[in-house]
Amino acid sequence: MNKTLSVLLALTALFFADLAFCRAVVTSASGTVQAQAGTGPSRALRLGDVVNQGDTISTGGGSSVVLRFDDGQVAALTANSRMQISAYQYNEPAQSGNVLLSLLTGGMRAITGLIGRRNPSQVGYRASTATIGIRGTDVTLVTLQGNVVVTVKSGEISFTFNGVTIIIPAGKGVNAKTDQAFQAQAAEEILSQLSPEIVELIGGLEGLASAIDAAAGPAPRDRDERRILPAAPPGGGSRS
Amino acid sequence: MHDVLASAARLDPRNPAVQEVLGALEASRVDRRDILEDGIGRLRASLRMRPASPYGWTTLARAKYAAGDIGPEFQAALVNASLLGPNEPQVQATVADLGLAAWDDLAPQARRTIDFMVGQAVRRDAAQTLRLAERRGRLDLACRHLAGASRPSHPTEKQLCPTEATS
Repeated sequence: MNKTLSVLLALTALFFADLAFCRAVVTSASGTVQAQAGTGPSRALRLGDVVNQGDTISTGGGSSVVLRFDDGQVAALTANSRMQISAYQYNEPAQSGNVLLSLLTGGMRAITGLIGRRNPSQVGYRASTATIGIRGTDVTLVTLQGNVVVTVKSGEISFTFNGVTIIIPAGKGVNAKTDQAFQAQAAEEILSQLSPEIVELIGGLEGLASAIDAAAGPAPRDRDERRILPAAPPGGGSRS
Repeated sequence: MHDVLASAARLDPRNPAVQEVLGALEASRVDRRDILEDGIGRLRASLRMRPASPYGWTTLARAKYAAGDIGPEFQAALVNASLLGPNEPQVQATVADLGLAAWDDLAPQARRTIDFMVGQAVRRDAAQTLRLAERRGRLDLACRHLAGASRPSHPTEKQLCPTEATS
């Protein structure tokens, strides 16, 4: 009995040891940041905390958070935002998995990781009723009261809204409203059309640039890269 | 696993190990407030029967943290775990991790205890503890325990604590 219990204790410790691969770590947090899973209690998120598939992350006024997933995917939320990790599964040995992040309200910048680089069709974002498919992408999403604004910094996305799908390349974006047609436009052109509330959300994300860069820094390497690249010298990390 | 443990708990309700394992399992259900609270209740019951278990106190501290409660009971659990298992590697690591995470909200006594345990953890495995402190954004609290060390520094120590690490 005692031996069995020891084994069970060790197994239980694993539950708490955050050893599962399917997760993201908080690499930057300021103000009020909370996570909630299902009908569980809300918990404050602190630097280094772990969030998992099913968690909903929310930020209060003047708050922000940056998450780095196991495959190197980064998601940053600005103030007054809510995002659910609808799906996140990552099999590190097989270098495969899937990502679905749902922005319920507010602003998010997302940079794809290893899953997106190796299999872009397995990464998707949602904002309100819009669905965004990616192809190696750094993208900013804002949704407020049904409107969806997306700008693409690098790569390319497919954007589906009200049953219509368009392709948006880097440097362009879209401002989709529930009662109007939409089209890809230059990012600067879109920014000039937006309400002050949306501009503020985008400004909040731009203020997170250095935290996002730090989180996106040393990404997990592709298996092929691991074979080719020499080992880093001791203490030779690129993190500043 | 839960059903087997629940049966064991019914058959032997005075067994603190069964209560602790079942409590830890239930407390891992952060998506269900009711189950999580049941788990915390079992961990408390286990500790009433076996109050000298440092691992029991760290498990309770983890469960309280997962429940979003870092108040007096959480802090007392960290302190008790530290007093009862100051040389236990897993206790050191857990106390350092949770203590550094909640540092800003800790009472002075809890801070002193966490600081002591961070020092213990640095002496046992400096590189691992420094990485943990870096993840929690509290390298300063860990690095200062390197100052004056008489042994040669690990490369990680030099990288993360260039001022305190010895050459």
